[in-house]
Amino acid sequence: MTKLIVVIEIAKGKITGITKECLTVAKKLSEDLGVDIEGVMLGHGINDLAVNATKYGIKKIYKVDDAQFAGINILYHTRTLEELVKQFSPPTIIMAGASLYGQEIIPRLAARFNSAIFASVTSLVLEGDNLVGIHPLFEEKLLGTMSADKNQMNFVTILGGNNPEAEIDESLSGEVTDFAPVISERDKRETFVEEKIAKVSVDITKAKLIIAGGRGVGGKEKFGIIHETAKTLGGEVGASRAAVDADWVPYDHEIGQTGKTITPDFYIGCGISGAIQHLVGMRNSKTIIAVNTDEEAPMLDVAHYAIIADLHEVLPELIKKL
Amino acid sequence: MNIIVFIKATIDRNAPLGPDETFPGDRDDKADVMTNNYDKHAIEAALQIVEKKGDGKVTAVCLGSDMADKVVKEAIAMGCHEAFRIENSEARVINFFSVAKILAAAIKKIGTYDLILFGMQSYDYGTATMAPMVSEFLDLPTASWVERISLNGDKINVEKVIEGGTRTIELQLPAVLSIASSGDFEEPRYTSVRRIMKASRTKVPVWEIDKLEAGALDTNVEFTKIEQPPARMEECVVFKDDDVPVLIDNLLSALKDKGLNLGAYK
Repeated sequence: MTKLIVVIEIAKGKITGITKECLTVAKKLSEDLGVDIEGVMLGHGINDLAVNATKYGIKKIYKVDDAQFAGINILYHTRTLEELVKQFSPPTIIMAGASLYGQEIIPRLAARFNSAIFASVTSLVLEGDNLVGIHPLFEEKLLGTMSADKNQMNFVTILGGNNPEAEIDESLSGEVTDFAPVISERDKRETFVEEKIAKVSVDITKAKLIIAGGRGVGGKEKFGIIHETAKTLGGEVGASRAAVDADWVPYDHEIGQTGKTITPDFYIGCGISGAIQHLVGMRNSKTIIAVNTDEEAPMLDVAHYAIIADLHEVLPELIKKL
Repeated sequence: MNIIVFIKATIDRNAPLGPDETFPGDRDDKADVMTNNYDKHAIEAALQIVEKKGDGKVTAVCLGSDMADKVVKEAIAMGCHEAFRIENSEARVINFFSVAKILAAAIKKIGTYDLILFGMQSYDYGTATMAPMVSEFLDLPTASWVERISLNGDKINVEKVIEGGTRTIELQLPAVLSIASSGDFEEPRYTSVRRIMKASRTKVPVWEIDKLEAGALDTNVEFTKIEQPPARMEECVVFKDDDVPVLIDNLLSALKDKGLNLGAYK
């Protein structure tokens, strides 16, 4: 019988949304395979989270709860997951969300088992004797079908934003079992130092109107026009990774792969070229308006309307007219 | 400080793209081939580290067909001290698992290195698997999406992207990093026409896959089909080449025609 194991990622004291999306894919697969979903959770002081996770339909959670796992250390995680996975014989499926963590841990773990992976697939389904997943290529201009024998060890990351998050069901429960951490001397070549996470002062996922600024805004002071436009029009401020990284606006305004996914009525992207990492977070907005000096910007591939002009001329004028 | 940077030739963003032609090696026209954008951030990081340290060299390595020579020469023009290509004509090895094995084997052959850098992903296949897989094959520590680096003797401190912030970790060298397109290496340097001309006359050394002892080159997860997604139904309506107030009037009236009101949220 196939073992189906989801690596449950924790951030800010919660199970991450992308893990819940992965659980949705796992649930369908578990029904098709006729097996239970199991999970593995690594961290420190995570018992309540582990118990909570069983309410997503996970029948058994391997909990690695240790002070050395208070901060994420990829080598510690890989070694401990290796020891866990070694206990299972094929067929076994190990899956995680294709978060930044999942995209580091799963390929490394797979390589340790001399295996390729289903990398950042939007789906994973059973087709006869094979597992089949879809991986977008060329920033989603093409779709690749990945396929592998279902009877081997299979390692999978599920791309975010393509599946609904699994919902909690209070009537469900499961077993939580401790799994001892394994760390070798060589794993100490990596040391966790610190994490800086934005304090959340705004929830842009609820906004009906988002005015987002990117690198093209040109500086922290110049970002004022984005704030002013958002305030005047009754929207919230969004930003690309470049803008938050440059400290023009706090991290909790970031949209995209490493930020929030938004679906407002209106999204106005100003000076944002539209790297795929940003587009995945906003492309399902109902009406997308691009303000950009470059007509070739990838943002125009998803935008409904575009004004090709300097945002510092467009936004003050837009405020005047509305 | 010896740094190896892996660079990839991909099909240019502006070149037509069909499912049958997903590799630059298939192209007849060099104009259709470009350096994977993200790899330029890795080159920039490597050059900055060596410049700051005041010693060492940057070696760029590319697995590709002769169409990829253009990419290798661009790396030299940017300032890489040496560069070579591993011959992969007719896209002989395309699965990323075997590619990771070949790259790891090439590093073993180079022998001396302190850092191995990748771009954070490729524009074409975009699996972001190279840094973690190659680091595993070489038994080295690794970090992906690195925005900032500081050297500290035989260790390196890296600040990497995480969702909603950054994480700082310390790694023992040698180490494998993938470099983010945001952060200290966000703007890869431009290169002068003179440097490009000079680099274009460089003869690119070519290594053979078969001499690298990369092991079995097969994969247990395969791409079985590549196809175009359903076409987008509506085109972007573009307002341009007019005074800004006119452009905005045009936008607002187009929105109105669709029953949309941008002023409804005040």
